[in-house]
Amino acid sequence: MNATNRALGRIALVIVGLALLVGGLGTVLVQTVPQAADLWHQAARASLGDLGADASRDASIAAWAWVLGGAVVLGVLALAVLTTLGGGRVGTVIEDDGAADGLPGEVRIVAAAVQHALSSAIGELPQVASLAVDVYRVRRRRALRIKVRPRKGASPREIADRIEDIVTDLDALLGERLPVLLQIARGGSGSSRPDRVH
Amino acid sequence: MSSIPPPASPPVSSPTSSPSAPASGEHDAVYRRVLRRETHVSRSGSVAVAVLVALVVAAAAVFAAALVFLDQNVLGIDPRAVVDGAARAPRGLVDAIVVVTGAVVAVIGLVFLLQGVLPQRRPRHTMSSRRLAIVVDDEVLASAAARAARSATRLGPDAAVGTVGRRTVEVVLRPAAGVDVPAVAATDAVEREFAEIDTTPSITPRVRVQPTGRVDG
Repeated sequence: MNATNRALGRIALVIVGLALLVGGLGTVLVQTVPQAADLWHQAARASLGDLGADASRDASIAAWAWVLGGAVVLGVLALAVLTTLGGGRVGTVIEDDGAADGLPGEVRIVAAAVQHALSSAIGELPQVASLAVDVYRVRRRRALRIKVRPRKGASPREIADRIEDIVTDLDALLGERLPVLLQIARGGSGSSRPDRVH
Repeated sequence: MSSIPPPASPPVSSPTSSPSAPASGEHDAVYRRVLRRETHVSRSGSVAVAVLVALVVAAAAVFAAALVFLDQNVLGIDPRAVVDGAARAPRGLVDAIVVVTGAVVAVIGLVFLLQGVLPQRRPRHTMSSRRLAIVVDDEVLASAAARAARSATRLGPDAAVGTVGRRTVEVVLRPAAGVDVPAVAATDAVEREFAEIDTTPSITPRVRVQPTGRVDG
């Protein structure tokens, strides 16, 4: 639920993957198949000549300047992709300066308040072994994620209904209906013990 | 918190926050995005590795270009000589080393490519809800199915095992030798449970009683 740009990441994976695959296969072919080696020699003479030791000083500098420029562009692009990974968790749920004609000032509800309220309400459910509440930024809005690890054999629908009621109470408390993701996850401490009260 | 009384007046939506409509479809776009992301695997790990590979290649190229500009070499190796050596391939290179290196690079590239192209679902289902976006791990569904099947019988907690696929759940009952199992009642119980859970994609239950009884207390 974080802010990773997945489309960009997949595009980067495909490009890097294709480059490595073509490079690796090409190397193997040039080394083992004579026809491929001939093709490679023609291509290398045409394009790599100025990068070699036999080129004049000026031609060499020009060719390697292109290499330097390409490498810098590649590096900047790579760093740009790297910065899109992760993030998106935020500390405030609501920032509100009220109605336009109201008093000056701002209401800010921090994530911890909502986390505590939900944790104490949901933690009382007998089906729930452990839980975590986080606030994320999704599409420039705030969204809650409630991750619940139920006890073994607990009914997912029962958990969903109970938490739905609790979230409805939270809506009334906040005066705003935030998007809420409920994640019912496996495992976790206490989940191997079945719910003792049926 | 479930005892909090609702406020006297209906909640007023504010201009700075979301323009929340009273209808239940207000978060549709957000929920679609969140559920899609939660039911598919994140590639951030492989993306980070691929980007680091690109960074290393870029750094090596910058380093080589700097050496050429300064007319220096490292450990007696001139980048220009390396290019010449590569251009003359396969002459002057050791077959085994080049082939193995090339193959390893190609396999790494193939792994990245497949990671980027394949859809890669997580073993999760989404559940219908009026208010929430819900994802539930298949393991939780399996254990709920096993519990439901067991509740219609008089079997112990280890006697029912559930397995959840994308569209089916299979519950295997393993009664102790000589114990009669009401298989139809168990099937009904699992069907009721999953009709209640109402997953997307929907799951069809199947209950099987293992004919070979086991011996236990």
